Amino acid sequence: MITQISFLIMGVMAVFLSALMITRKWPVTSAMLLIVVMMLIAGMYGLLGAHFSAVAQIIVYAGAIMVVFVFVIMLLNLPPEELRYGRITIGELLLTALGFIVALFLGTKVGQGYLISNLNSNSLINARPPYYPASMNENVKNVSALMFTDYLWAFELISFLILVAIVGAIVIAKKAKVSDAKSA
Amino acid sequence: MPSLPELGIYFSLLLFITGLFGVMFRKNLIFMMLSVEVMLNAANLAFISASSMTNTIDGQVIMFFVMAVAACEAGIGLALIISLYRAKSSVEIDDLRILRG
Amino acid sequence: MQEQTLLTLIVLLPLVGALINAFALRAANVGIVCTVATFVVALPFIFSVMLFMGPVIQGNTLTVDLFNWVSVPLVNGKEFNISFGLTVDRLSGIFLLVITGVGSLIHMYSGEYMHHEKRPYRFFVYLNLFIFSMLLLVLGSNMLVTFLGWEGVGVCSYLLIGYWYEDKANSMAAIKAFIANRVGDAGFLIAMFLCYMLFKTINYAELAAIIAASPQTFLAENSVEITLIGLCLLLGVAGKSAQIPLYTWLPDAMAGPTPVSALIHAATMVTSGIYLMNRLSYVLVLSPTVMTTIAIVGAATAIFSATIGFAQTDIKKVLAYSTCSQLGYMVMACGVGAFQYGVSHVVTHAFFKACLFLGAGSVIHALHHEQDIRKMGGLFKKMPITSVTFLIATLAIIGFPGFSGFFSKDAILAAAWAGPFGSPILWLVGWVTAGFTAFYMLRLTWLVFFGACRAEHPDQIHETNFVITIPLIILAVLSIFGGLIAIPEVFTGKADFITSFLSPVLGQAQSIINASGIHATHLSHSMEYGLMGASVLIVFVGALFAIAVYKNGPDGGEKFANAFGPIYRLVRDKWRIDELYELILIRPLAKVGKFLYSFIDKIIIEGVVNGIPETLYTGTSVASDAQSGMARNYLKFIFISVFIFGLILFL
Repeated sequence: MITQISFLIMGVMAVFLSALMITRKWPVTSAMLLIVVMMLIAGMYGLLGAHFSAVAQIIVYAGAIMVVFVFVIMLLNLPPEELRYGRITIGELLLTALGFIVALFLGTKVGQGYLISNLNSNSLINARPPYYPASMNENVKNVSALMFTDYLWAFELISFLILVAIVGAIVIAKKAKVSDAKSA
Repeated sequence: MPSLPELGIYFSLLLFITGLFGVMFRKNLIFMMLSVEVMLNAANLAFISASSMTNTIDGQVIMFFVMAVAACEAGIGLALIISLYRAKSSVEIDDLRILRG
Repeated sequence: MQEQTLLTLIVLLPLVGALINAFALRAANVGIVCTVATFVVALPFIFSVMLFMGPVIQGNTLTVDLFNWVSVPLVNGKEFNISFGLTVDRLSGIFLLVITGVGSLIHMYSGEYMHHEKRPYRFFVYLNLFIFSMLLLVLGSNMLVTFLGWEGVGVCSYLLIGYWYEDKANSMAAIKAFIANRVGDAGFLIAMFLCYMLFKTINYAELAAIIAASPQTFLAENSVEITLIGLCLLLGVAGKSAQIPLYTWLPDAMAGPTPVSALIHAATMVTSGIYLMNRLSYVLVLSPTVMTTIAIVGAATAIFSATIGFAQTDIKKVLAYSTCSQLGYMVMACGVGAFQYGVSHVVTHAFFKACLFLGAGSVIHALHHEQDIRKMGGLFKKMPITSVTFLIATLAIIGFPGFSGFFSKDAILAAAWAGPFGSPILWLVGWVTAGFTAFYMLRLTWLVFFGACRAEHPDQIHETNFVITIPLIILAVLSIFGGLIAIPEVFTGKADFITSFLSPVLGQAQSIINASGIHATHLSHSMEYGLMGASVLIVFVGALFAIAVYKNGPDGGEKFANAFGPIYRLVRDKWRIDELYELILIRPLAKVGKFLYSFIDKIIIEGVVNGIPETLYTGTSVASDAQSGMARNYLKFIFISVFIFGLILFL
């Protein structure tokens, strides 16, 4: 009961805050709001039994990525951006609402009618050896057991990707030196 | 009251739409990237909920990879924004129109 | 060599010559080009002589089927086949000799006449193409090959008349000739279609056989169609051979170079109508209406154009109207049933008319392209060879006794009185025309060669090159002796040469005439002598009258002209026929053309042709606006389409 209510509250707040976030004037405000949203989402992960994911979310997402975002925002000293509040028409609002409702409907259709019925009968998943139960107390062990056996290849590639991204980011963001311009 | 993972799916959907609106309707590149992060988070939430729904661990593993990719993308995107700002002194997406038809 | 090969070579050699000149000898000078061109016409002349000595003299028909031209399977199981074949018999043999012989002389002549042209290859290419088409015309074994040659000579005539195209008047004359010819071609085409419809064949040999075998009832039932065939053929002949009403192009065609006038409009193209009538004589005689119409048209043309020749001042125009008049004689001969005398007059006319035109060309050349006879005169001493040959040819054309024209023209006049479809009225018209001919020809000769010299620079005139004078001499000799083919019975005691020579070809027509009960009036010897005497009399009268009037130069004609007043003015303006045609035919047609242009061309066709690119342009500019380079719009569209896609997939 408690879990459900808190999950609900966290979810609603996350949606509300993200809606708020996309309508702010200052970028720093939006970044702060996003950090809060991420923390709420981490909470939802925890309630769903993905403890490791929750913690990883806070450390990596909220603690590293968003920090980089804030660094860049402050580095660039960006001007504020005005949303055109005064000129949002009723038609636009109605269309937005309609879009929401239709998307929700689609989502439930997709989720209930198609995917879930196939998921339990998915042969690949059922072919797993039975020592990967989603047990509440052994989350880290189970995740790592899967990651380093079935998904090892993807893991290594992803680390390679991170390396490439680091190098790429440095190269892209470097100031263009005079010698570079001449050789280019 | 639907079960927890199902709620998770619904919330993920709403978050995704919100992020979508943010990408579509904001001109500043920083805001667009933030909205993309929101979308990615929504996708992660959907994965975790699905793994909880089917009592498997695969969803959580995939969520890690998505997070790693999101981190790379955020890094490179920000680097691009920096170099763009240096070249054009503006990070409005409407100013990037050289590839027009 | 095999005779079939000879026949094929005769036709192909001019074409080969034209191609060589057109593609390999563009920069060569006149000498080389002219030699090549003359060679490819002289060699066929030798071949024609060989063929003449061979199968033609023996009276056989030589046929070569070159290839299958049209082969269409019909609905009722049979096939529609037309083969491209060449036939030579006595009729084509005579025409072959004339075409290639006179043609090669004129080719040689043009070498000197076109000496100062900048790019002479064009002229000789067209001349060779013309000879090729003309040979196809006379050697075709069916009406379609003949039609191919028929059109070909029309095209080459257009090209040659408008040779000096920089002057717009020449191009207009060429177009006029071509259009008048086209009207005639339409007649030929309709006749061909009717022929096929009625007899199921257009091959001459098969046609003759079918008509010979047809029962009288079949011919009687289809007499309307047969008359139509004849009348349409007459239209074709009127177009090609410059009869009324399609003769107006011939005087204007004098805008072309003089060798062209000599070759095309004196000796060959204009005689193709006569050839056609001879070829299809067995069809024409089936309908007395057609024959009478042909005779009347010929006689009317003869006298009408002779009157116009009275008042012309351009030397070539006088000769043009004289050609028209002589062609009228030939058509009249065919019309009264004496087809062979039409052919004999073709032969003699080719000789003396070519001689006259080439002589005129020599005069024009010597006077540096002066063509007005009022500015000539007294050339007899300065250009002796030209004068003598011209005089001989003039005597031939007026029918002076002893020359070739006398025999052929008298044969026609006798046939006009006594022929199966003739009548004394036709004889009278021809007799009066002979007098007119004598008058204007002597007027021409006198004003050009005798009397005081009225030219601008009399001292610079001298006789022309031997290249010009040798053809003149040859043609003059032929003008004297060429008439021997038509010496009538009264002199030799037996039937004249030309009748017996062409009897294998024309015999079928003769038998049809006999079978239908129409007979030629038999002329007693005294009657024939009487007719001959009458024509000699009027020739002398006309000639002496001309000399008397123009003794002292062109002013002598003034009193004569004033006596006739308004009629003279009408005659001088060619009876205003051109203006009449302009009024009743050309202006309405131009109006219709303008209307069609403004409606169909401008609105419909240009609407479609310009509309397609315009629509494409508008469409593409709309489409290219979509690629604005604004990523937000791209995103918007991506998401909307995913949305819709999901909707469609899951609903």
